[in-house]
Amino acid sequence: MKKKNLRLLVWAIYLLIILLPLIVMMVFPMPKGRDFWRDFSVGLGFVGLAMAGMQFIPTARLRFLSDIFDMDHVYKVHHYLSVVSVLLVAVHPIILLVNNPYVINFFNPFTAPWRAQAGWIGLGSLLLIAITSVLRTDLKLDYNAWHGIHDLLAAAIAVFPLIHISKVNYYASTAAVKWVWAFEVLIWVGMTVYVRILKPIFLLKRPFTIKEIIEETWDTWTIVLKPKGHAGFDFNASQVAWININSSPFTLHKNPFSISGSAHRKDELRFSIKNLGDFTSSIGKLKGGETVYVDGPYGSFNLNEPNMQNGFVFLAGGIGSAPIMSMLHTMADAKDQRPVYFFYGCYDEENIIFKKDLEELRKKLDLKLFYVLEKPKSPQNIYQGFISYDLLNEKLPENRKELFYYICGPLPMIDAMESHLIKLGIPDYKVNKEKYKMA
Amino acid sequence: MGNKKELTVAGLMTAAALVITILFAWLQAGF
Repeated sequence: MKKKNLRLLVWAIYLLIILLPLIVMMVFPMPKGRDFWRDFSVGLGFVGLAMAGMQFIPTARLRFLSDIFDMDHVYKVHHYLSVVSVLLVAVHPIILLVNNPYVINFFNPFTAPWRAQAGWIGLGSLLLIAITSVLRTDLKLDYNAWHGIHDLLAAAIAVFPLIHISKVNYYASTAAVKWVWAFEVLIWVGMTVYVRILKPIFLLKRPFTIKEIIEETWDTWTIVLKPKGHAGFDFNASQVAWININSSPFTLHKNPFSISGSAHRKDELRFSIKNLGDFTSSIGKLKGGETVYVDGPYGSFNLNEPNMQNGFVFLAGGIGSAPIMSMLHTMADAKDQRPVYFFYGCYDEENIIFKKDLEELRKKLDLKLFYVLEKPKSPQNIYQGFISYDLLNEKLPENRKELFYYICGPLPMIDAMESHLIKLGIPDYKVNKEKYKMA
Repeated sequence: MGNKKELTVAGLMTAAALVITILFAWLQAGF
């Protein structure tokens, strides 16, 4: 099946699971309806809860999803639908109140009956998840602390709204509704067991060790891993993996990095990591020999797609060059002679990562390399400033619309490159963007 | 290019959810 059809199928199944409780309630005999607004509000609560429960799936890092979707898009849809699910659930008590002012007695969480209290706890957890996720950086919440809070709140969302539904015991008094929620819970629990237990067990059986640590620049290192007691795994150039160094795969301390080595070297895995002050600051202190668990590879990008046959334009900023190095090394190992134009933006000469490797690759590939430095120390033979429309327009060949564009770097750089490419008339389907930071 | 694609997907999901919810409430109300 084509990727596009598979994507449609996945969205259709996702929608079906979200709507299943309501569909079941329309198909099977149910207690008599109360009034339109009351049942409408119940319906919103049901669909909101089913949607909130399914929000776990995009974050579960399922291989079949990352093979067909650009995960950055999936995370964005996940964020939007999370907000929608919170709104749907929050509107449920508001409609009940407007419809029947007596419901105000259930709005005091201290005096409300248990069935209402459970609902409030569920709604409160849902709101807290949304707030801590949207404002994580503003609240200065550490990623792993946030992850832990997120998991606890997710558990509360799985438990308390179901207590609410079962204690209200109106539609839930029927076997069909009981079964449909049991099915929804089975999916949530199944995903949790897979992510928290089965996958870590699998990773535990596939350890890697750090063979070498290469200092690329003053703040960037490449760690070279070798498989320990297994043959390694196949991956595509520029794919991503979550790694944890010297800690159990059962912990939440995993960090995503782009693979920067050749896809033809199954005996080693390379990750290039820049010190950003968090977990990455410890990379330079590694001695070698540490055990690393690698959850991956993920990412749907493939160098051999039909629309990439005429060559590439790579546009990178800083460590955004890591996945591009993976593609260049892979192409060199395959003796691939498709033309490559690589515009590489860095701060100054000292911050050009992989300079030696790039000079070597220039000999093996049809590679035209343009360093664009913000503050060059010696401006000779170097482009100064940022990668601009004028530079691209001057250096790209006549058949620029036939080339495939891959952008990787910080968000402002991606936005700037996108507008340059639009101005150059490059069609959207010829462009792939990889944000330096996950959405 | 922006986030149009993702907003469309999320918008379609939300629209489908609302339509089915209205349909459910409408059927229950016995219209």
